[in-house]
Amino acid sequence: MLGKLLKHEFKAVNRLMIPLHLGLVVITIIGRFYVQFVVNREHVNYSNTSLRMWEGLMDVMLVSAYVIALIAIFIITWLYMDILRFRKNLFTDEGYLMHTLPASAAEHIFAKLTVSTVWQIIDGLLICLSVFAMLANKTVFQFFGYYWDDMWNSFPQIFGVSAGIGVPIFLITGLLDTIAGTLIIYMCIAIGHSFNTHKIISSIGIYMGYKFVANLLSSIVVALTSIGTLGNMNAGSLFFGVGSYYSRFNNPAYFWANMGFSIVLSLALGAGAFVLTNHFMTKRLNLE
Amino acid sequence: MEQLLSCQNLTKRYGYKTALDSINLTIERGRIIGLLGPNGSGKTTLIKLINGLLAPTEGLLLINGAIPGPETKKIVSYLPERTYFNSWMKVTDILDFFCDFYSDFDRNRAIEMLHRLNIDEKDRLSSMSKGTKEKVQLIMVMSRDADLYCLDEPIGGVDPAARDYILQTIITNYNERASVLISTHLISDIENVLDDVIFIQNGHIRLTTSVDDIREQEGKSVDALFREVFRC
Repeated sequence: MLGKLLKHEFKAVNRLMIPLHLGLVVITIIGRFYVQFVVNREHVNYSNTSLRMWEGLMDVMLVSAYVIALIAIFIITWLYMDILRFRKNLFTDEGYLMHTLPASAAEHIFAKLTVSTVWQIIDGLLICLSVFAMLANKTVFQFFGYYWDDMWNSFPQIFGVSAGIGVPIFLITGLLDTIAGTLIIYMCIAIGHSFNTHKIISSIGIYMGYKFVANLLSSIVVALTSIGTLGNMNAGSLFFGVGSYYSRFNNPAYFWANMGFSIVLSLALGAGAFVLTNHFMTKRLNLE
Repeated sequence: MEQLLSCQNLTKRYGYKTALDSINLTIERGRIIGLLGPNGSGKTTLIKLINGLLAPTEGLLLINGAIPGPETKKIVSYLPERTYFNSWMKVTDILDFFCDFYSDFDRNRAIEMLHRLNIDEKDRLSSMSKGTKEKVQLIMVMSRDADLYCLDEPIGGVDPAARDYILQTIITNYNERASVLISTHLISDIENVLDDVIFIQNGHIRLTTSVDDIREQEGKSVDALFREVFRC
C-alpha cells in the first residue's frame, strides 16, 4: 500500500515540482550565457560612461532577479511539499478520498514525508548546482584544483575530525533535521485540524507555540551551560557542546557532543511528532 | 440475518453540540436502507463515523466486527456529499487510482457505466459540469464489489433521467451479501428501491422499520410518513 501511495503522491506533486525545477534549469542556462556575455564585454574598452552605467544597472538587476528566483523556488518547494500538499490532500475535500483508502495513517505520513524529503533534496542540490554553474570558470576550477588538498587537510583543524567523517555527519545531521522539521509541521497541521473551527489559525498557533518553547529551552540550555552553538538549524536548533568558545576549534569531543546531540534531538523530535501526527490522524480525525 | 454494521451507544459531539446521541443501530447484509432525516439531523455525521473520517466521542461502531480502519475501508465504498477529486485528473487517472487502491474495483464495469452516461474517459474533471462530476464519482463508488456502500446524497445534483439509471445500477450492482446505506431527503425518488428506512432527528433514531411494514401497517408511503413524523 505504501508503494501505491508513493506512486500517486509523486504523480501528483511532480505536476508542480518538475516544471518549477525545469524553470530553475532554464534560468541557470540563460544566466550562464549572460555571465559569459558580461565577461567578454569587459575586454572592450568603453569611452561612453553612460552606456557603462546602464549596463552596470542591468547587471545588478539581473543578478537580483536571479537571487530572488532561487529563493522563490526554494520557498515554494518547502511551502508546497511541507504544508500545502499535506493539508490539502489529507484535511480538505481530498481527504474524503485519501482517508477512505485502505491505508493506515502511518502509511499516509510516510508517503508524504518521503516524497517531501526527496523533493527538498533535489531542490537543494539543483540550487547548489545552479549557483556553481553560474560562477564556475577556469579560475574557480584552478583554485579548487590548487587548494583542494589544503581545504581537505585543514578540516580537522576547525572541526576536530577528518573531512571524510565530518562531511557525511554534517549531511546526515542536515537530513535528519529536515525530516524532523517536516514531521513537526505535519504534527501542527494534524493537531490544528482536529479542532472544530479555526483549523488553520490553530495549526499556525501550535507551530508558533512549539517554536517558542523550543527557543526558550534552547536559551536555557545555553545559559545554564554557557556553551556556544556550532550551527543554527531548524528542529535541531537546541545544540549542545562542551567547553567554551575557544575550545570549539580542533576539538573532537566538541564536534561529537554537538553532532550527537543534534542527531539524537532530531530523532527524538521526529519520532515524537510522528507519533502525535499518527494519533491525531487516527483517533482525532475531524474532517469538516 | 448476518450483521454487517452495529453501533452501540454511539455518540459524537462537536464542542457543546451533540450531533449523535447514544445511537444503537444494526444493519444486516443484503438490504438497501434509506437514512432519512431533516437537515442537520446527524445523517452525514453517522456516515463519516462509518468511514473513519470522524472519531466517535463515546460508544462503539463496528463493521464486520472491526472498528473503522484500513481493514474496514477495504469493504466499505463511500460516496461523500462533495467532490473529492483533483480537477486536473482525467477520468482515466481516476480509474487507475481506484484500480490501484481497491482490489474489489471492476474497471470494465466502470467503463461500461461511463459509456452509458456518455462520459468520455479522456475528459478532465475541470471541463465537466457539477452533475457530471457527481456521476463520475458515483460510478467509481458503485464499480467496487464492496460489502457496504454508503451514499451521502447521491442523486442531489443529477438530472432525473440519470437519476433513474443510477438507482437502477445501485439495485443491480450490489450482491446479496452487500448492503447499501443511502442518505437523502429526496425520498419519493428512491422510495421504490428501499428495503428499510432509518428516521433520524436531532441525533436520535426516531424509527427503524422496513418499507413493507410502513405500507402494510400504516398504509402510507415512506414519503408521507416522513412528512408526518417530521412535521414542522
